Amino acid sequence: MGAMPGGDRNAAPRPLDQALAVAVLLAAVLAPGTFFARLEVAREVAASEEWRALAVGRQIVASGADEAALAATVRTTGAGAVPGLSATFVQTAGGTDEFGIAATARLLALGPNGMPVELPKDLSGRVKEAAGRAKSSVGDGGTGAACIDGGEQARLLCAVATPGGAVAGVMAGRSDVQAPFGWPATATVAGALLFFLAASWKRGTRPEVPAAVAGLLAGGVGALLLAWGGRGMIDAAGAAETSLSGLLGAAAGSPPLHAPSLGVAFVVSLAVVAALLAAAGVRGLGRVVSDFRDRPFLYAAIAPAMIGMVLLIFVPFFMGVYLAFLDNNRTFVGLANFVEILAPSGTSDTNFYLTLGVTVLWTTLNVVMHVAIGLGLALILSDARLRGKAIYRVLLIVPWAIPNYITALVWKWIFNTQYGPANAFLALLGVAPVDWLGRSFVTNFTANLVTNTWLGFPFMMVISLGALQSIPADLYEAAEMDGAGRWARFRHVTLPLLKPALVPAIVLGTIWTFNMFNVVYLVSGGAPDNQTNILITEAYRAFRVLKNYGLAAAYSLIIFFILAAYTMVTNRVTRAAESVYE
Amino acid sequence: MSDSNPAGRKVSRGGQATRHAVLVAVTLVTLLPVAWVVKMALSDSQSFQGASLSPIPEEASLANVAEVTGSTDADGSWLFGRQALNSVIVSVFTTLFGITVACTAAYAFSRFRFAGRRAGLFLFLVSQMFPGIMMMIPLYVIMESLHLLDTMLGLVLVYSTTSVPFSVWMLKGYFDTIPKDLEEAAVIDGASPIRTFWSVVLPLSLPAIAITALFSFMSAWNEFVLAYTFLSKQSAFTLPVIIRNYVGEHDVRWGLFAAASLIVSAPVVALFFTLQRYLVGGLTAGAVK
Repeated sequence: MGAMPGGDRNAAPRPLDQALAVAVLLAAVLAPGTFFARLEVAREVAASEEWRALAVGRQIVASGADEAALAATVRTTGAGAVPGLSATFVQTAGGTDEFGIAATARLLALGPNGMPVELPKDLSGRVKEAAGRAKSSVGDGGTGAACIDGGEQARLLCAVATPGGAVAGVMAGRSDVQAPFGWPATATVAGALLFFLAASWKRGTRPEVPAAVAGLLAGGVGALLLAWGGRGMIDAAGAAETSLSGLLGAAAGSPPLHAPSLGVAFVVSLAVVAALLAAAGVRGLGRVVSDFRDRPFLYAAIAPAMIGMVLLIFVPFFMGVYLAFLDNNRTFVGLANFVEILAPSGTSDTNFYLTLGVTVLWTTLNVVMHVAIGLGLALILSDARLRGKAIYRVLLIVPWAIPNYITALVWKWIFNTQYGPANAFLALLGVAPVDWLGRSFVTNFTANLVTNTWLGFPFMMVISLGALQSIPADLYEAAEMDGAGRWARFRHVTLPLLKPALVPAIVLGTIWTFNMFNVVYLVSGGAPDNQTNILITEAYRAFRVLKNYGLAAAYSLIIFFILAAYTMVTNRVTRAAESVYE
Repeated sequence: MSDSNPAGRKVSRGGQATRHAVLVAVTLVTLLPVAWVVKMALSDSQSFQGASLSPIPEEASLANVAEVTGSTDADGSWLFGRQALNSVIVSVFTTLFGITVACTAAYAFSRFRFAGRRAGLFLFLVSQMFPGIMMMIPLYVIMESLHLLDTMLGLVLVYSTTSVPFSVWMLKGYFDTIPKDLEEAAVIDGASPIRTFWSVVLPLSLPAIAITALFSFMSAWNEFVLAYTFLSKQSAFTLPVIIRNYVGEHDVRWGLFAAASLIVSAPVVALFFTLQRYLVGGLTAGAVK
């Protein structure tokens, strides 16, 4: 069963299969490239739309909100033809009653030539909604106080009900740009493929070189087309701003600056990445493609798991990687977030290296405790003559079955200074109560450690029990006949045979403990002064407390690299993993 | 359990007594926190002034349990029932979907050699190292653009895909330990690969499948952070989210928290103990073959 068809693993697959592989690889580069370009352009165009809406809105407010003045403004500015803009106006300038909104909507629906145009579906929906909200807002005596924090709904409501809410209303009513970016990518990939096929049609040539050239071509030309198209849209927005400035005069204020974000760096990096990826992946992926044609059902069996994982784990991960290079205004800042973490400027209130040290200490102590307690209990429980061991075993895995955030909160209560059982126990021993979760690093850390030890030893116990079961009894008899004592038998028989099961469990346990968010966050919460925070809770703090998502993403990426390096360096594990592969 | 005794064969009566003493002590430490939670849930007060070590409930009031289970929304419909149903549906479908997908993939990885196999297995392994916090906002954006926020389908999709890599590795390890001869015999008798898998491999793998299913179910039933992020409507909440209602920033209503914790934990603990006899075999067979 399952022999490799085609035999030789190093033989180059057929050119057509390789071309398909190159197509997939190029698409994998151009799709996020297109996504990025669209995002950049959308941001600029949205900024321009906002500015235009604001400028016209100001004009409307200044000229009075009666129907005739409104009509005149709308006609002169030609605002009615821009769907996103008209939705905004309905809310900013519609007045506070249903009639006012409906009238504005009708006016906005007039085209530049004075003929009515059909309202877009979402716009007519919004008109109805806005009317309803305006009515209820006026009824409730809405003042616009909740304009900032009330979420999108509240902003829209305020925008309708109060002139002061106009700005917020513009923010809420802006539309996304849907640019036709699909075709340049498709066309360039097709062109590059034709080139690749022509260059590698002869069997036996190295496919890497033409693949790299095809990648360079597709990446470069695709990026150029994207940049060119995006530039066009931004320029068009700029032109609209200029003409609006001319119409409205100085009252409109100065238009926003549009930074050329899709520049040379974008084109070069897309081309280089495409070339490298195509060259590196053409052979391997080409083999997958040809294997796929022989045995599609095999790949169909893996596809659901693979597609789900790529879409919901890898795509979010790479989106997170992208965010690690942005600041809070979504501007590209290069490695600034990483520098902020690794070489803090002094304004930062925690030290990465201290946190890393605490994390390593936390992980080591926990894993040692888990293995020591788990293995110890397993050794006791694996005695055949021990009575009631089934009951012990069932009771001892209770912590595993309970959701760990519940465990963490329960232990937070146990360590409570006034009414926690931990201090009641100390009182029994005649020891003064300890302020466990107070100002001391040691007590906070101990509380976390005890909680996580309670939580984690059953897993190691079960793994050890399973591994002990599989050790043949005659090995011990042989060792005993050779005169090995109890310790020698444990050292030379039990331990080596436990290794294959324990090492992967320890690696897994290390990764889990390294990222054990719930316990640290819920028990000590980092007290005192974030000192007991581990890396993952620091990342969360950057996200929730400092509200710096780029910094949080950079933290997460550093955690990922540490864990990846750990797994690679643990060469035993690599070997264990390899033995699983084949 | 096996007959081997790794720590030594000759154990005196005194040795046995020491062992029981150790086991009883550890078991007590293990069970005390649980007993305290029960006590807390059955008591009438919320704050527990005056520390006590005794795990024996002083009162047996069901007021906390009644308040947790009796919650209703503005329209007067039974909110807790709705939320419990959400949890059941999400967890059951996560398990079914996740196990089906993981079983087929793990079987292919275990029995066939094909191009991209190593890379595929490696990707499953790497995906376990991504910190969840980094994915939260991107996942939210993806869910939003697919209109899956506040839906059970969204949770099922996220939960099952995040549990699949671990399931695939575990099941593959277990399938590896099943001798191929059995399947070859079935193939010679003319059975298709699907039929072979269904009637030969699957029955032999029940311990591993049971344990994988248990883990999938537990992770979905207990998951809190993503549910808290994706769900904004009370009627869409799963049970872990409601526990948060009782644990405020400064004010924790311990009695209600304990009652809710017991109610949320009970089904998953019951399931865990039903399947625990598979735990040892299902978890470790792949690693110690």
